[in-house]
Amino acid sequence: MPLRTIIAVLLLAPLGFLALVGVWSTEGGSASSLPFPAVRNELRGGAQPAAGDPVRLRIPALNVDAAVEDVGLTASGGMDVPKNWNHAGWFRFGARPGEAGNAVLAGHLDSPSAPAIFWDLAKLRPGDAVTVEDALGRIHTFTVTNSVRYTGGDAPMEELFGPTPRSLLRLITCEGEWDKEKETYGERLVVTARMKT
Amino acid sequence: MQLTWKSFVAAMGAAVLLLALLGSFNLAFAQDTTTDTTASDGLFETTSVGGGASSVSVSSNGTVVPTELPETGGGFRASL
Repeated sequence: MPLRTIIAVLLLAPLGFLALVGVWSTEGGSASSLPFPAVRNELRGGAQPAAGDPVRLRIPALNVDAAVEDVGLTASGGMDVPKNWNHAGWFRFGARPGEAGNAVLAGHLDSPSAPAIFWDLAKLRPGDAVTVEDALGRIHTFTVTNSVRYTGGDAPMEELFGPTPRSLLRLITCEGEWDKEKETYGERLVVTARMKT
Repeated sequence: MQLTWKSFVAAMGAAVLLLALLGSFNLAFAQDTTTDTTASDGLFETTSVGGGASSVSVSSNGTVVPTELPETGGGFRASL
C-alpha cells in the first residue's frame, strides 16, 4: 500500500468515526430520550428548582425550624443526605410535601461532634404537628401517625418512597448502635405524618 | 495529497468496524435497563433503571425508589 494511501486512511478514519458517533449519540444517547422527568434531571446534573419545592421544616414539639435542601441518589442508588448537619434533605425524586405521594425528608441524628437536626426525632408522638413551607410561601401541615425502626435492609422501600394516593410525609434519621467499622448506626427511624385536611 | 478510491474504501471500512464496536457497547448498556411492568399498587408501573446493586425503580409518575435509606449519623451519640 502506498504511503499516501496509509496517510489518507489515518486521516479519514477518525473523521468517519466522529461522524458516525455523532449520529449515534443524537439518536439514542441523549438524556431527553428517557421517559421520566426525574431521571432526566439527574442526568442533566440536578433538578431545576421549582415553585412548590419545600424550603423550611418546622417541628414545634422538637424546637426544629430548619432549612430544607434537595437531595438525590448516592452512587450506589441509596437516598443521599443533606450537606449541612442541621438542614433537612428532601428527596427530590419523590413527591413534594402537600402533593399526593410520599414526601421524604431525611436529617442527621448527629455529626461526629454534636447533635444534629433530628437528634430528638424519636420523641415525636402521634398527634404532633409538622409543617413544611414551600418556595411559594404555602404552609403544609402534617400530623404524626407513627414511628417505625428498621434494621439493616428490612425497610419497605416501595412503601416508604413509592407512589400513593395519600399525602404523606416521611421523616428519616439514624437509630440504634454505632458500628465503628462501617461508621454508621445500625437502624433507621422513620416517622410518618399525614397531611391535615 | 490525492484521495484514491482505495483509501476512501479503507477509511469507511475502519469506520464501520468502529461502529460495530460501539454497537456492542450500546447493547451492553441497554441490557442494564430492565422493565418490570408489574404495577406496585395497581396504579403505577415501575421500571428498574441501572443494573446490579445500584438499580433503582422508577414508577410511571416519575417517583424513584432508592435502594437504601440514607446514612444520617456522624457518631457523636456513641461517644457519650
